[in-house]
Amino acid sequence: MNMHVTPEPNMYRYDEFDRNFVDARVAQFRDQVARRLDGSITEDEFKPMRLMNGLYHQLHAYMLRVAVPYGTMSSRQLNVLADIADRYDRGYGHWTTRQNIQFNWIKLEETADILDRLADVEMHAIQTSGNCIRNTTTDAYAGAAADELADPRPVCELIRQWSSLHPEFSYLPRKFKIAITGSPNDRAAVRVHDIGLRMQLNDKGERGWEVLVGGGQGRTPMVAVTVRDWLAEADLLPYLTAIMRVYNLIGRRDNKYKARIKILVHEMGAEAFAAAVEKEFADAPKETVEVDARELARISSYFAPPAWEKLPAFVPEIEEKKLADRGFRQWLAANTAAHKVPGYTIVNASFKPAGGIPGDATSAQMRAVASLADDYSFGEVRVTHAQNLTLAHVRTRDLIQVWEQLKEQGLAEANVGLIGDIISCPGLDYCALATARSIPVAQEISNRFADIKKQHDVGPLKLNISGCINACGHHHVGHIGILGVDKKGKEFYQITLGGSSAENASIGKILGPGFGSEEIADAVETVVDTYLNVREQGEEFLQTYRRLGAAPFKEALYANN
Amino acid sequence: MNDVTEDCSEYVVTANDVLSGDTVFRTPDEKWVRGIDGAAVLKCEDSGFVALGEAQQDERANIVMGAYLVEVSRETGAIRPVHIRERIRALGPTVRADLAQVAQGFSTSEVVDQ
Repeated sequence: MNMHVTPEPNMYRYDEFDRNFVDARVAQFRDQVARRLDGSITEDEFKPMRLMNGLYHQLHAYMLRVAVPYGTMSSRQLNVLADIADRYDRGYGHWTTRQNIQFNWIKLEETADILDRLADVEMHAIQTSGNCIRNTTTDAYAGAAADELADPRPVCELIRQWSSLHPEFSYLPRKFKIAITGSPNDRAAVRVHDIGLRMQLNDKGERGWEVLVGGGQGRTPMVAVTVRDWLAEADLLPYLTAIMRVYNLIGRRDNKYKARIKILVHEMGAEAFAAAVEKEFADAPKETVEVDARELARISSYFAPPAWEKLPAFVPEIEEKKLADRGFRQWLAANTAAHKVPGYTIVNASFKPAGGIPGDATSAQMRAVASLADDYSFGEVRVTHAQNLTLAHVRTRDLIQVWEQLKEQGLAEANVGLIGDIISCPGLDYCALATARSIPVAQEISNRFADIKKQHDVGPLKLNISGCINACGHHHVGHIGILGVDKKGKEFYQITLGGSSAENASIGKILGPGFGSEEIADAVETVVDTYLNVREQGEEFLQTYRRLGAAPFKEALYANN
Repeated sequence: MNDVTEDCSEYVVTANDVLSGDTVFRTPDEKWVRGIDGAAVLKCEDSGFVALGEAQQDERANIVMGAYLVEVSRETGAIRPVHIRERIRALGPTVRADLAQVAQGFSTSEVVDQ
């Protein structure tokens, strides 16, 4: 009889303190729900309590946002998410742009049971909402990428522990997001986060961090400024504390639209803000530093590299398949990435089928990826900020089998990083804040570009869609961004061009007047066709835009109007 | 005094069920249903506010939450919110017809094309 083996991946595991903390929180929330239902507390009183536990109320129902710390989870955890989708939701979930998962059809009376189930596998929904430090996000290829300096996840976990229910930072002026990259090639969008951390190595090979502050999207998009080129790793938590204290003390609380740290940095000026942080950092006692270093060492031990085999980098069978099968070749080109260890490859499962809902995952797909992780990737899965899943450690020789099995689940669309790999918020179909739908626009555009060969001919192109100015769909940093707005009860869509969340981050610029819902896909096609007409040899969309500016695209879209 | 009845807009009272979170509408017999076609249609804002005031008793009783008035039209014969947001809230989501109120017999075009 075949026995399915569930490997235990190298990732952080709860200790007794963590377990007691999460269990106590679930019990507390169960009591809060009971008091809400028996009328002891009103909805106004209950709302902040449920939000602190990730429970929103959206357009149609309660929505539960579950934290996937820095996007890493085990197959066991993914299987539990699938069980929750089936038992408590409607058979699916939605990967978010902050590497979490949302369930759209949750019932209040069942929420504590869900949290209990999550706690069984060391998961929770704490701090996935509210004016606190949210899930720290990072490169989905962390610990595997050929181009990274080191795995940033131990530092992510250190920050998670530091920021969880931090008494000083639980009631900030506004929500607060931290992103970290261990690679010079930024796949974590660190320059558009409240704090971004970029790992550095100095001449002695010591690890430190570039600290960026004040990036963000929303209604006032900004690229973060560097406040420290180099911060020794031992100083990380004291320095983050200093930043948070300056923000907590002087950040605006009179206007929620001006309460993010980016506004403070902008209003103070980057130099003055950095000086205030440096003063706070210099004045604060440093006795915790050594403890933090020991704690980081303890945490790092959980993230030891998996038991990679010594394998040849060149696998003839794969090379032959590449030559013989265009579909496999396209998939390899788009959906895989170079691993740091010879003989291994990073594999992305695309949750962006042509005409599909970006980031939606059925319970069957979750279980299939969990099973693939068990069989081919040390039982570990990553959520990407582009709403896909990653198997970080696949033996190159296993790629054909993995590809075949992903195809069976509709997860092998060869479009990662291409125009079909659309980031989209839930928009007006689900979200109470949205002003226009975003998913149908994504579906229509991905159908227009369903021809994978065409997508590959177009080349790297990030198209992001938000259904309102809050920009959860990251439209400001899409090479092509689309923002849906309500104009007298009709959906209208503005196009921005030239955004990027990579190491050379930029905020997209509005191209001109918006388009109706029936026009927007045509407009995007016109933009892409224009790019194809004016690009130089080997030039990617963003490079062409940066070389030529908006003029040729405006001319193509608006010349006749 | 001018007779304003001719220009009066029509409204329904909506809220969300506390237990399930579902969108619900207040019926003529002061109950709550999930389908908007079961809603009591109220002529003019004034009568709407009277009904809303009554509905808020159900908020205090923890049956529903967030009650408010939604302007509707009956031009197509069915009760349909005027604004797209409320149509999607009542009948959507438009992208998962299998899961939405449209599965109860509404069409997606009814949600969007008005």
